[in-house]
Amino acid sequence: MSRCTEIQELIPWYIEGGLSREEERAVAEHLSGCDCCRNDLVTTMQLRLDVRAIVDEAPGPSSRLRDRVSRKVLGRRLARLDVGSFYLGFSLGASLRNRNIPIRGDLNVMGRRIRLFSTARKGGDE
Amino acid sequence: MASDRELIADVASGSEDAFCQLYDRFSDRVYRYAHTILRGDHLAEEVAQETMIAVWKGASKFAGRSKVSTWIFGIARNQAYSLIRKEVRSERTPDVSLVEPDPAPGIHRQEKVARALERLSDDHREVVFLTFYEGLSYGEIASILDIPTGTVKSRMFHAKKQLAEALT
Repeated sequence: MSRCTEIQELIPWYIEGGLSREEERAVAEHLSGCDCCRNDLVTTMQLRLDVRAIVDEAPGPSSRLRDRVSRKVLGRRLARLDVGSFYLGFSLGASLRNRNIPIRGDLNVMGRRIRLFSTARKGGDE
Repeated sequence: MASDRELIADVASGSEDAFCQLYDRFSDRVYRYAHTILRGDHLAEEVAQETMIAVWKGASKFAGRSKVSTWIFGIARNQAYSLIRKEVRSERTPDVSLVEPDPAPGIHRQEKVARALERLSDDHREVVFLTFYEGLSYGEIASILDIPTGTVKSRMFHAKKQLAEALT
């Protein structure tokens, strides 16, 4: 296997930051003196952006998935109200089990959910 | 914010709240991974569902030797392939894509890459997803796919070459 092939095999993880220090150093040193591998680096970086955009643009799972999983795992349906957008929003969720109705509120920032409050007991029946 | 490991430990002790947080972090990613393997919305949802249920049931078995994401993607992969076996036995073909016609001249770059992705073999497409979308190391991917690290690197090398060729 040529040195260029060895380096080009590592380039995807060089971009992702998933190499050991030794591998990273070896790739960087080789890139500094090889036009062909530098071109491969640029092509790979662009392909990575393309693939990420393609996967991100594909629709995600339907909202029914959450209900199905929660019914199977938690034994009942979780009701949830979402207000706002992907970038900033608020979710209010409630569930029902026996006579206990726990409620949780989350702040959604850039798709990440941050718990604001929950009336459920940890490890107990929600 | 709790780490994935903290959440798994809480799920193992029965915390439904921790499970909901873990669900929010992983269900969409698992769905997209399953979609990469199966290329069918309905089947990918089934895999995502069964994976999250398996996470709930098996959290106490998580030994902590790998990242939580590696463990969960490993479960998803097993679910996807067992679903494929089930579909084949029942003679219902999984929703694998047909070979697309050649793209028209002047087609958008990303569409060309999307079509080239579809044309990759399942093995190659899976490695591309786990590397470029999930940002996993080749060691982590080897562990999920249960193949040598050299095979991961070589699959990625050839996949990348095919994707790049589609753009020329």
